[in-house]
Amino acid sequence: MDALPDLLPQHVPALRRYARALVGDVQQADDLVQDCLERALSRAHLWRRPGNLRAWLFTIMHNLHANDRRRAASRPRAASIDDVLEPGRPASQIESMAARETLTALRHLSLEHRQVLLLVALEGMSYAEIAGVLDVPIGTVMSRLSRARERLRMTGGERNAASRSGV
Amino acid sequence: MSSQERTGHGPIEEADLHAYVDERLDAQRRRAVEAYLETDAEARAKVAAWREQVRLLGALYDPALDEPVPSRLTEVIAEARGRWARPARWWQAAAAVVLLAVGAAGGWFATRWFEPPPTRREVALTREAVLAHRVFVVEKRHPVEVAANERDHLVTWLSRRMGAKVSAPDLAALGWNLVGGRLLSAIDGPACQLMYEDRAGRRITVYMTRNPNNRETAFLFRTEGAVRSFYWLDGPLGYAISGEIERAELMPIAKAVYDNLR
Repeated sequence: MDALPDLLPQHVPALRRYARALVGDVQQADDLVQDCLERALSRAHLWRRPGNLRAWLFTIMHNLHANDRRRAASRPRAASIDDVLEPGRPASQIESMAARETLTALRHLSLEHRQVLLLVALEGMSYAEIAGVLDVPIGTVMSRLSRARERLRMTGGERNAASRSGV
Repeated sequence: MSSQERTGHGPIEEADLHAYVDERLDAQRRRAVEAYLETDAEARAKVAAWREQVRLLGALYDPALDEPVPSRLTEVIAEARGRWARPARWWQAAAAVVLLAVGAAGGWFATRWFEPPPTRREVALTREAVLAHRVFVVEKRHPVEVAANERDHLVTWLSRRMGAKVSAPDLAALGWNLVGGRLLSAIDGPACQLMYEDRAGRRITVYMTRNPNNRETAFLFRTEGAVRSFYWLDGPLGYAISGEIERAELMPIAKAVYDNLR
């Protein structure tokens, strides 16, 4: 049976993508991924095979992120991490107005809404899986998803969607 | 059928629309939603907008999947793989033997090798240290604020500003001579940097920052680009020893600094 270090690499790209969308800054996102990997490796005994490794990693990452935010909130900072959202590529390459609007809207979502939206949209996780990762009832996942999508839609996404799909 | 799938003939609810966008419906329910969408323009607009959101988020962040993974992440896994390669019982037994063997001499230093990995706060310490290292080791005319010929003044001044006893360890036995030091600012207030140089002109730095909660950590190692650091939190201060030298060469320096500070 493969040891945890052999199973982790395949999850790293997805963890990086999600962390970046969650916290914005590339370096801080990779810090979060690094903390997550280190925590997972130090607590390998807590992972029950044949468990859902991806869900376990995302759970660890959310807990670390929540701790970081609590710590950040307790001391003044020049800028909140939520003020600086960097996408997967430089802003200059994001030609489309719709993408920029989405980025802005994402930044204005609460953390809880952003988490659910990103786990659905980027990770393609099932609602039940997300409920497990975030440790909330599935009904809460659905209501957060609904609010997140509607907030995004109200900040300009609607026009773009309508024009593209011909609705 | 998994719990998140929605089925049956009940009235179409908003949750069905989400599940439709996310392709979480069984075939029967999907057909029901499609039929419903024919009749409801507002629902059609929602579904189209939500699909577009998924597409845009993917366009924004999927490129991250194709980037090369930074070495600091692959190193974390590679180091753990090295540990895993040994049978666990052997490893624990060996660790116990090492701890016993060096207990008297190495004490805390040795035990800390076996503690859990760092939190982000601890990592921030090395980031600050490495940034300061990179800025000042290349400096020719003003590498330090207070030079080594004013060593007493340097440590008195830095101790006062740091609010904790700062000393400038003597590393001459290892071939590193004090250049001097400077006061810096960091996230938790004042920080300071001592610089050492060897006969070849290579430079290493000892970075100290406040440790507000007097947390104690393992003795840790981190690589950022070409700069390698050993670092730890202990008592009122956190320490990071950084240099563009091999880990094996940096380690005895870090140990000497640690021993000197006790």
